[in-house]
Amino acid sequence: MLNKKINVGLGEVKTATNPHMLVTPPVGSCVVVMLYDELMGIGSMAHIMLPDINMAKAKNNRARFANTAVEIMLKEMIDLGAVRRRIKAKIAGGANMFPNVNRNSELHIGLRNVVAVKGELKKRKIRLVAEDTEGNYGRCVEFFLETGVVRTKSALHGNREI
Amino acid sequence: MNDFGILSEKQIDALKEVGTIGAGHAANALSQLVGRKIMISVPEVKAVSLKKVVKLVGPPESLVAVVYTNLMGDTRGRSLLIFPRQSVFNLVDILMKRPAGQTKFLKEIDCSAIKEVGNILAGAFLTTLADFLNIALIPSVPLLAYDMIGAILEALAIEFGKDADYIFCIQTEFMDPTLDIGGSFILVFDRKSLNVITEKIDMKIKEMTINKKKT
Repeated sequence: MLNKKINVGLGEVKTATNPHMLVTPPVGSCVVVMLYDELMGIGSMAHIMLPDINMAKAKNNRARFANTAVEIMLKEMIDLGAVRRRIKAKIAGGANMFPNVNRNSELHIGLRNVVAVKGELKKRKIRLVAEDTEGNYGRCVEFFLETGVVRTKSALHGNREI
Repeated sequence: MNDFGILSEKQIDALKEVGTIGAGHAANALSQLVGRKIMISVPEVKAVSLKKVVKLVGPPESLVAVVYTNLMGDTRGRSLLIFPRQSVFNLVDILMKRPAGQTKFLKEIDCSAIKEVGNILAGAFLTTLADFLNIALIPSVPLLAYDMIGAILEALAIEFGKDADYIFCIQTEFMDPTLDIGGSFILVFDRKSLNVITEKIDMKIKEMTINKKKT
């Protein structure tokens, strides 16, 4: 069966069911969070830009932030029939695309996104089962809702399945 | 009314004007480096919404070499010189005096050469801008990234656009009509620096009108 690709752009959350496939354009410092209910084949993907909604001036899009997007994802999945306690998480992205450019900068934005997402998942007691994060290269992310497999594709470091 | 409200038409025109001169100097420098005639486009001065940033230079998945520098001094910003994969290989062939088509990947020494090109072009452009606005624009040591353009621009968008939902940039295209060695030059400033720049432009415009009246 041909899987339909659903594109998840910058700062978006999309939820779909088996046999669809959720994909992102190349991701740099953003973090892609994927939640999955294996039994129902329901999955949700968020393309998170920033760690904290309280740091941003434009707060209208809650799907952009690590500490608000997961809530939206859970709601959309449960509306489709997913069961909360079965939901597991995978994450990818959070690279440092401009290494060494700010020597005195605190943690780079990619790492801060990763830390914030992990914190949010822990707070909501969602198990993080796999990740492909950090480094200094971009990734495209594909999330197969048929199997729950996540494939990350990078230019210089090849493909990875997590 | 323009789409970002912070710059007036007059200010944009002034930036375009100085951008054209800066790009001209940069193209000239590249011409001399490669011994070929390089053409430039009139710079675009624009605000780009975060969603559109990743598509500024072709398809987001395409592979590019980017020489980037951080700007210090009176403003905070970043300059990026972006060469598509084939362009950068052709450029390295010329710079390293290799037969056309020989470069298939970038060696350490090729990376140095590309960084140097980036340094010279960014320097030519930035000096013009700094002289016109009478500000200090100091580029950091150039660094090179080789990756998917979308990932690089996305990170740029977040760093410079997180407050405003858009990034402000000046973009110019370089091209050689007969050989693929062209690329894009993008200059991005943060919001605070944009205020500094508009202030300086206004001073400059005022100065020029006074001088005009005198003569």
